[in-house]
Amino acid sequence: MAIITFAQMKGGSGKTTLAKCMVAEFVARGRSVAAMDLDPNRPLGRFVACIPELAGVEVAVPDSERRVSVVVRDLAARHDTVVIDLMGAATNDTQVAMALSDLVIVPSQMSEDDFRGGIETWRQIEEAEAVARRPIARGVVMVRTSAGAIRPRVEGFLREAYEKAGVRVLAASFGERTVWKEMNYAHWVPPLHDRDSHAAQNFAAIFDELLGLLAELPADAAA
Amino acid sequence: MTTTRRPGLQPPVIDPAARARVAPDDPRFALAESLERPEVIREAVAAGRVRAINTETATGLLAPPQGRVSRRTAPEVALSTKVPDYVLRQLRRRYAESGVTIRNQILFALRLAGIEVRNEDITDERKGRK
Repeated sequence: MAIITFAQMKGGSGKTTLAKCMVAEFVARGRSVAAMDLDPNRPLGRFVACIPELAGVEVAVPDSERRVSVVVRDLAARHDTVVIDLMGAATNDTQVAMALSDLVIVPSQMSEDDFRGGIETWRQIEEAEAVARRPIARGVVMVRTSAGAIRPRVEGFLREAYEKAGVRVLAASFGERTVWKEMNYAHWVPPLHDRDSHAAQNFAAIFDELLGLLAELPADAAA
Repeated sequence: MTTTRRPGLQPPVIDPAARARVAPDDPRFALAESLERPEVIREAVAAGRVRAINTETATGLLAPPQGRVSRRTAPEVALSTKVPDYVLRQLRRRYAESGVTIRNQILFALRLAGIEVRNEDITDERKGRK
């Protein structure tokens, strides 16, 4: 169905946490999903390994024999969705992953560094789209936002700043919650284990919006 | 006569998950492969698109060229000695004529004299030599 990449030039923005939830959500919805962990610390691979419900999820890592393009082609032939988690920097993998992707998700916290990284990432996706000569769906997800009803001033400010720069920001944002930090320790993943929780519903809203971005692609663009 | 209620409106099913898998011959894979070539990565570094190299995936970029891998079987140590000048002149002339370095001429001679010198250690590993 799709190759989905989490990219952001700045580290620590929430790529891997979102990728973990994305993999869990696909599994919870009964979809066939595999992942590629391009962060040398292997956080996504460790997460999948410690959650029994994710035992069937294949997480590929690069090696000296097989290039990223070859590994992803193999995964995409056997799974409906491939999730790629990148390092938080403009690496040689970034342009490769973008060229492979149907959808690129750019997480952004509310610092200026995240904003700059988000804009730079967006420009690289635009460039990848031009080189690939096919549309690549993309969206910025605001991360670590207030989980309460009150939206801090900086979030509205940043949404406006992104929009002024021609960047699409998802309406749903990823709220700051302790449960995301506890996933590896507690082996408790809201999208899998507590789908009625606010946390799971929060991510489901992001997930649905992201699938909506994919649905906007022309039928022959996203294979 | 019974009347049935007109059914409620249902949104169309838009399920991107129902799309076919990405075919192995999709052009994106060839493009991605081209972006993994060492010269393309170097160009991206020069242009500022790439600012960090993942050593796990840029092996072709970081590995020494094939021809420069040393095949020697033992570490090299320095040896300094004095010889008559006419000997050195002959060694230099032979080097000019044959391309065999003075070091290797000496090693060949020592092997003829019964000193163990392995084939792998009689190689000229200077840049561009074989």
